[in-house]
Amino acid sequence: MRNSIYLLLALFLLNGCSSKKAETTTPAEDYGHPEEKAPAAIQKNRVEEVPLKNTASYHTVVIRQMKFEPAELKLHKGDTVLWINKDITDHDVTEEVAKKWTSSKIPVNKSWSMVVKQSADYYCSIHLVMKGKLLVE
Amino acid sequence: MKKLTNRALSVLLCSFAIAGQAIAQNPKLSDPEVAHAAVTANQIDIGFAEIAKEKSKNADILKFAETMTNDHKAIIGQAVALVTKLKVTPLDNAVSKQLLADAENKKKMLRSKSAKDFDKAYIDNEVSYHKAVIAAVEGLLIPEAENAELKELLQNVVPALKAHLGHAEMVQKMFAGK
Repeated sequence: MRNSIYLLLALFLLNGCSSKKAETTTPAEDYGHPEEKAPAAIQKNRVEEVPLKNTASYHTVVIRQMKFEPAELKLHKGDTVLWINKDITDHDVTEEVAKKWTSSKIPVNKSWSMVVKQSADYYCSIHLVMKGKLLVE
Repeated sequence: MKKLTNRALSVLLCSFAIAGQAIAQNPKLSDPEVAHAAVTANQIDIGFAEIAKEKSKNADILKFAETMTNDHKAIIGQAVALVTKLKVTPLDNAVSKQLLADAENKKKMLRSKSAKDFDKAYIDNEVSYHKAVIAAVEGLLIPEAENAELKELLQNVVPALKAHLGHAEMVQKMFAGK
Protein backbone atom coordinates (compact mmCIF):
# COMPACT_ATOMS: atom_id res chain seq x y z
CA MET A 1 0.00 0.00 0.00
CA ARG A 2 2.74 2.39 1.06
CA ASN A 3 4.74 1.52 -2.07
CA SER A 4 1.85 2.33 -4.34
CA ILE A 5 1.39 5.71 -2.67
CA TYR A 6 5.08 6.50 -3.26
CA LEU A 7 4.71 5.37 -6.84
CA LEU A 8 1.72 7.66 -7.34
CA LEU A 9 3.59 10.52 -5.71
CA ALA A 10 6.60 9.92 -7.93
CA LEU A 11 4.43 9.82 -11.06
CA PHE A 12 2.69 13.00 -9.98
CA LEU A 13 6.01 14.80 -9.49
CA LEU A 14 7.39 13.53 -12.78
CA ASN A 15 4.28 14.65 -14.55
CA GLY A 16 4.47 18.04 -12.89
CA CYS A 17 8.07 18.53 -14.00
CA SER A 18 7.53 17.43 -17.57
CA SER A 19 4.47 19.60 -18.13
CA LYS A 20 6.21 22.62 -16.66
CA LYS A 21 9.15 22.08 -18.97
CA ALA A 22 6.88 21.86 -21.99
CA GLU A 23 5.20 25.13 -21.24
CA THR A 24 8.24 27.21 -20.51
CA THR A 25 10.62 26.06 -23.21
CA THR A 26 8.48 24.97 -26.13
CA PRO A 27 9.53 27.14 -29.06
CA ALA A 28 6.81 28.83 -31.05
CA GLU A 29 7.97 27.03 -34.16
CA ASP A 30 6.86 23.72 -32.72
CA TYR A 31 3.29 23.83 -33.88
CA GLY A 32 3.02 21.37 -36.71
CA HIS A 33 0.24 19.45 -34.98
CA PRO A 34 -3.12 21.07 -35.69
CA GLU A 35 -4.90 18.33 -33.77
CA GLU A 36 -3.34 19.75 -30.61
CA LYS A 37 -5.59 22.77 -30.99
CA ALA A 38 -8.87 20.87 -30.79
CA PRO A 39 -9.10 20.51 -27.02
CA ALA A 40 -7.79 24.03 -26.52
CA ALA A 41 -10.23 24.77 -23.71
CA ILE A 42 -8.95 21.80 -21.79
CA GLN A 43 -5.32 22.66 -22.47
CA LYS A 44 -5.98 26.23 -21.44
CA ASN A 45 -7.09 25.09 -18.01
CA ARG A 46 -4.00 22.94 -17.69
CA VAL A 47 -1.68 25.81 -18.57
CA GLU A 48 -3.32 28.17 -16.12
CA GLU A 49 -2.55 25.82 -13.26
CA VAL A 50 1.17 26.45 -13.76
CA PRO A 51 2.31 29.42 -11.66
CA LEU A 52 4.32 32.04 -13.52
CA LYS A 53 7.93 31.74 -12.44
CA ASN A 54 8.89 35.40 -12.66
CA THR A 55 12.17 36.50 -11.13
CA ALA A 56 14.21 39.72 -11.20
CA SER A 57 15.55 38.82 -14.65
CA TYR A 58 12.78 36.59 -16.01
CA HIS A 59 9.40 38.04 -16.92
CA THR A 60 6.25 36.49 -18.28
CA VAL A 61 3.76 38.29 -20.52
CA VAL A 62 0.44 36.48 -20.78
CA ILE A 63 -1.51 36.89 -24.01
CA ARG A 64 -5.18 36.67 -23.13
CA GLN A 65 -8.41 38.12 -24.56
CA MET A 66 -6.52 39.99 -27.28
CA LYS A 67 -4.21 41.74 -24.81
CA PHE A 68 -0.62 41.53 -23.64
CA GLU A 69 -0.57 41.37 -19.82
CA PRO A 70 1.28 43.42 -18.68
CA ALA A 71 1.18 45.65 -21.74
CA GLU A 72 4.15 47.64 -20.41
CA LEU A 73 7.08 45.82 -18.91
CA LYS A 74 10.01 47.52 -17.20
CA LEU A 75 13.15 45.38 -17.24
CA HIS A 76 16.92 45.36 -17.53
CA LYS A 77 19.11 44.70 -20.53
CA GLY A 78 19.75 40.97 -20.79
CA ASP A 79 16.52 39.95 -19.03
CA THR A 80 14.44 37.17 -20.57
CA VAL A 81 10.79 37.67 -21.45
CA LEU A 82 8.47 34.73 -22.06
CA TRP A 83 5.22 35.36 -23.92
CA ILE A 84 2.63 32.66 -23.36
CA ASN A 85 -0.51 32.46 -25.50
CA LYS A 86 -3.51 31.67 -23.32
CA ASP A 87 -5.97 33.14 -25.80
CA ILE A 88 -8.36 31.35 -28.15
CA THR A 89 -6.51 32.31 -31.35
CA ASP A 90 -2.92 32.31 -32.64
CA HIS A 91 -0.83 35.41 -32.01
CA ASP A 92 2.67 36.69 -32.60
CA VAL A 93 5.04 39.17 -30.98
CA THR A 94 6.71 41.51 -33.48
CA GLU A 95 8.83 44.63 -33.07
CA GLU A 96 6.55 47.34 -34.42
CA VAL A 97 8.67 50.18 -35.81
CA ALA A 98 11.16 48.38 -38.06
CA LYS A 99 10.10 44.71 -37.66
CA LYS A 100 13.52 44.05 -36.12
CA TRP A 101 12.40 40.81 -34.53
CA THR A 102 9.39 38.53 -34.47
CA SER A 103 8.31 35.38 -32.68
CA SER A 104 6.49 34.14 -35.79
CA LYS A 105 3.15 32.51 -35.00
CA ILE A 106 2.62 31.47 -31.36
CA PRO A 107 -0.22 28.94 -31.38
CA VAL A 108 -2.72 28.62 -28.54
CA ASN A 109 -1.05 27.33 -25.38
CA LYS A 110 2.46 27.70 -26.80
CA SER A 111 5.07 30.19 -25.74
CA TRP A 112 8.12 32.04 -27.00
CA SER A 113 10.95 33.71 -25.17
CA MET A 114 13.56 36.30 -26.01
CA VAL A 115 16.52 37.98 -24.31
CA VAL A 116 15.83 41.71 -24.41
CA LYS A 117 18.64 43.96 -25.60
CA GLN A 118 16.81 47.28 -25.89
CA SER A 119 13.47 48.99 -25.35
CA ALA A 120 10.86 48.24 -27.98
CA ASP A 121 7.30 48.88 -29.03
CA TYR A 122 5.85 45.60 -30.17
CA TYR A 123 2.54 44.38 -31.53
CA CYS A 124 0.77 41.31 -32.83
CA SER A 125 1.10 41.45 -36.60
CA ILE A 126 -1.94 39.16 -36.90
CA HIS A 127 -4.11 41.52 -34.81
CA LEU A 128 -2.84 45.04 -35.40
CA VAL A 129 -4.67 46.53 -32.41
CA MET A 130 -2.71 44.44 -29.89
CA LYS A 131 0.27 46.43 -28.64
CA GLY A 132 2.92 46.14 -25.93
CA LYS A 133 6.07 47.90 -24.70
CA LEU A 134 9.40 46.74 -23.33
CA LEU A 135 11.11 49.47 -21.33
CA VAL A 136 14.79 48.81 -20.59
CA GLU A 137 15.82 50.79 -17.51
CA MET B 1 -28.59 44.52 -21.25
CA LYS B 2 -27.69 47.72 -19.42
CA LYS B 3 -24.36 47.73 -21.20
CA LEU B 4 -26.05 47.80 -24.57
CA THR B 5 -25.68 51.39 -25.66
CA ASN B 6 -28.20 53.07 -27.90
CA ARG B 7 -25.70 52.98 -30.71
CA ALA B 8 -25.09 49.28 -30.35
CA LEU B 9 -28.81 48.71 -30.11
CA SER B 10 -29.45 50.65 -33.29
CA VAL B 11 -26.71 48.71 -35.06
CA LEU B 12 -28.23 45.52 -33.76
CA LEU B 13 -31.67 46.44 -34.97
CA CYS B 14 -30.49 47.77 -38.34
CA SER B 15 -28.32 44.79 -39.07
CA PHE B 16 -31.05 42.41 -38.20
CA ALA B 17 -33.69 44.56 -39.84
CA ILE B 18 -35.65 41.56 -40.96
CA ALA B 19 -34.48 39.31 -38.18
CA GLY B 20 -35.47 42.32 -36.09
CA GLN B 21 -38.90 40.83 -36.14
CA ALA B 22 -37.58 37.86 -34.23
CA ILE B 23 -35.55 40.08 -31.89
CA ALA B 24 -38.47 42.42 -31.27
CA GLN B 25 -40.44 39.40 -30.21
CA ASN B 26 -37.62 38.55 -27.82
CA PRO B 27 -36.92 35.09 -29.19
CA LYS B 28 -36.35 32.45 -26.63
CA LEU B 29 -33.28 30.68 -27.94
CA SER B 30 -32.34 27.31 -26.50
CA ASP B 31 -28.65 26.58 -25.96
CA PRO B 32 -28.51 24.35 -29.10
CA GLU B 33 -29.92 27.33 -31.02
CA VAL B 34 -27.49 29.81 -29.45
CA ALA B 35 -24.61 27.47 -30.38
CA HIS B 36 -25.93 27.16 -33.94
CA ALA B 37 -26.24 30.93 -34.36
CA ALA B 38 -22.72 31.46 -32.97
CA VAL B 39 -21.17 28.92 -35.33
CA THR B 40 -23.16 30.33 -38.27
CA ALA B 41 -22.00 33.88 -37.56
CA ASN B 42 -18.37 32.68 -37.63
CA GLN B 43 -18.84 30.63 -40.80
CA ILE B 44 -20.31 33.66 -42.56
CA ASP B 45 -17.18 35.72 -41.97
CA ILE B 46 -15.01 32.86 -43.24
CA GLY B 47 -17.20 33.00 -46.39
CA PHE B 48 -16.57 36.73 -46.80
CA ALA B 49 -12.82 36.12 -46.38
CA GLU B 50 -12.89 33.46 -49.11
CA ILE B 51 -14.32 35.99 -51.56
CA ALA B 52 -11.60 38.48 -50.56
CA LYS B 53 -8.91 35.88 -51.19
CA GLU B 54 -10.36 35.30 -54.66
CA LYS B 55 -10.82 38.93 -55.62
CA SER B 56 -8.32 41.14 -53.80
CA LYS B 57 -4.68 41.79 -54.56
CA ASN B 58 -4.18 44.22 -51.69
CA ALA B 59 -1.74 42.95 -49.03
CA ASP B 60 -3.60 44.56 -46.10
CA ILE B 61 -6.94 43.13 -47.23
CA LEU B 62 -5.48 39.68 -47.83
CA LYS B 63 -3.77 39.67 -44.44
CA PHE B 64 -6.97 40.72 -42.71
CA ALA B 65 -8.92 38.03 -44.58
CA GLU B 66 -6.36 35.42 -43.52
CA THR B 67 -6.72 36.49 -39.88
CA MET B 68 -10.52 36.26 -40.18
CA THR B 69 -10.28 32.75 -41.65
CA ASN B 70 -7.92 31.49 -38.95
CA ASP B 71 -9.56 33.20 -35.97
CA HIS B 72 -13.14 32.31 -36.86
CA LYS B 73 -12.06 28.70 -37.53
CA ALA B 74 -10.43 28.67 -34.07
CA ILE B 75 -13.61 30.03 -32.48
CA ILE B 76 -15.73 27.41 -34.27
CA GLY B 77 -13.26 24.78 -33.03
CA GLN B 78 -13.84 25.96 -29.45
CA ALA B 79 -17.61 25.91 -29.93
CA VAL B 80 -17.55 22.42 -31.46
CA ALA B 81 -15.34 21.14 -28.62
CA LEU B 82 -17.76 22.58 -26.07
CA VAL B 83 -21.01 21.26 -27.63
CA THR B 84 -19.33 17.86 -28.04
CA LYS B 85 -18.39 17.90 -24.38
CA LEU B 86 -21.89 19.04 -23.37
CA LYS B 87 -23.45 16.49 -25.77
CA VAL B 88 -25.47 19.28 -27.38
CA THR B 89 -26.39 19.21 -31.08
CA PRO B 90 -26.58 22.74 -32.55
CA LEU B 91 -30.09 23.45 -33.80
CA ASP B 92 -31.01 25.63 -36.79
CA ASN B 93 -33.30 28.53 -35.92
CA ALA B 94 -34.75 31.83 -37.17
CA VAL B 95 -31.71 33.90 -36.13
CA SER B 96 -29.27 31.58 -37.97
CA LYS B 97 -31.51 31.54 -41.03
CA GLN B 98 -31.69 35.32 -41.11
CA LEU B 99 -27.93 35.69 -40.64
CA LEU B 100 -27.40 33.36 -43.61
CA ALA B 101 -29.98 35.13 -45.79
CA ASP B 102 -28.37 38.53 -45.07
CA ALA B 103 -24.93 37.06 -45.74
CA GLU B 104 -26.00 35.68 -49.12
CA ASN B 105 -27.08 39.19 -50.17
CA LYS B 106 -23.78 40.64 -48.98
CA LYS B 107 -21.81 37.94 -50.82
CA LYS B 108 -23.70 38.71 -54.03
CA MET B 109 -22.91 42.38 -53.57
CA LEU B 110 -19.20 41.63 -52.97
CA ARG B 111 -18.95 39.28 -55.94
CA SER B 112 -20.53 41.91 -58.19
CA LYS B 113 -17.84 44.51 -57.37
CA SER B 114 -15.09 45.32 -59.82
CA ALA B 115 -11.52 44.68 -58.74
CA LYS B 116 -11.17 48.42 -58.23
CA ASP B 117 -14.13 48.73 -55.87
CA PHE B 118 -13.92 45.39 -54.13
CA ASP B 119 -11.41 46.16 -51.35
CA LYS B 120 -13.35 49.09 -49.94
CA ALA B 121 -16.65 47.20 -50.19
CA TYR B 122 -15.15 44.20 -48.40
CA ILE B 123 -13.62 46.13 -45.52
CA ASP B 124 -16.73 48.34 -45.12
CA ASN B 125 -18.77 45.15 -44.85
CA GLU B 126 -16.31 43.70 -42.31
CA VAL B 127 -16.69 46.79 -40.12
CA SER B 128 -20.48 46.68 -40.21
CA TYR B 129 -20.65 42.90 -39.90
CA HIS B 130 -18.42 42.82 -36.81
CA LYS B 131 -20.43 45.64 -35.22
CA ALA B 132 -23.60 43.65 -35.85
CA VAL B 133 -22.16 40.39 -34.55
CA ILE B 134 -20.74 42.04 -31.40
CA ALA B 135 -24.16 43.56 -30.75
CA ALA B 136 -25.88 40.22 -31.36
CA VAL B 137 -23.47 38.25 -29.16
CA GLU B 138 -23.64 40.78 -26.30
CA GLY B 139 -27.29 41.68 -26.68
CA LEU B 140 -28.85 38.37 -27.64
CA LEU B 141 -26.68 35.23 -27.52
CA ILE B 142 -24.98 35.82 -24.14
CA PRO B 143 -28.25 36.74 -22.38
CA GLU B 144 -30.00 33.77 -24.00
CA ALA B 145 -27.30 31.21 -23.17
CA GLU B 146 -28.20 29.21 -20.09
CA ASN B 147 -25.26 26.86 -19.75
CA ALA B 148 -22.46 28.63 -17.88
CA GLU B 149 -19.70 27.25 -20.11
CA LEU B 150 -21.53 28.28 -23.28
CA LYS B 151 -22.05 31.76 -21.81
CA GLU B 152 -18.36 31.93 -20.86
CA LEU B 153 -17.25 30.86 -24.33
CA LEU B 154 -19.38 33.61 -25.90
CA GLN B 155 -17.97 36.15 -23.45
CA ASN B 156 -14.43 35.03 -24.34
CA VAL B 157 -15.15 35.53 -28.03
CA VAL B 158 -16.16 39.20 -27.64
CA PRO B 159 -12.57 40.55 -27.22
CA ALA B 160 -11.57 38.79 -30.45
CA LEU B 161 -14.54 40.27 -32.29
CA LYS B 162 -13.68 43.73 -30.95
CA ALA B 163 -10.02 43.33 -31.99
CA HIS B 164 -11.24 42.33 -35.47
CA LEU B 165 -13.45 45.43 -35.58
CA GLY B 166 -10.52 47.67 -34.55
CA HIS B 167 -8.30 46.02 -37.16
CA ALA B 168 -10.99 46.38 -39.84
CA GLU B 169 -11.42 50.07 -39.00
CA MET B 170 -7.64 50.59 -39.34
CA VAL B 171 -7.70 49.01 -42.80
CA GLN B 172 -10.89 50.93 -43.66
CA LYS B 173 -9.07 54.23 -43.04
CA MET B 174 -6.55 53.29 -45.75
CA PHE B 175 -9.41 53.12 -48.23
CA ALA B 176 -11.26 56.20 -47.01
CA GLY B 177 -12.12 58.50 -49.88
CA LYS B 178 -11.22 55.92 -52.49
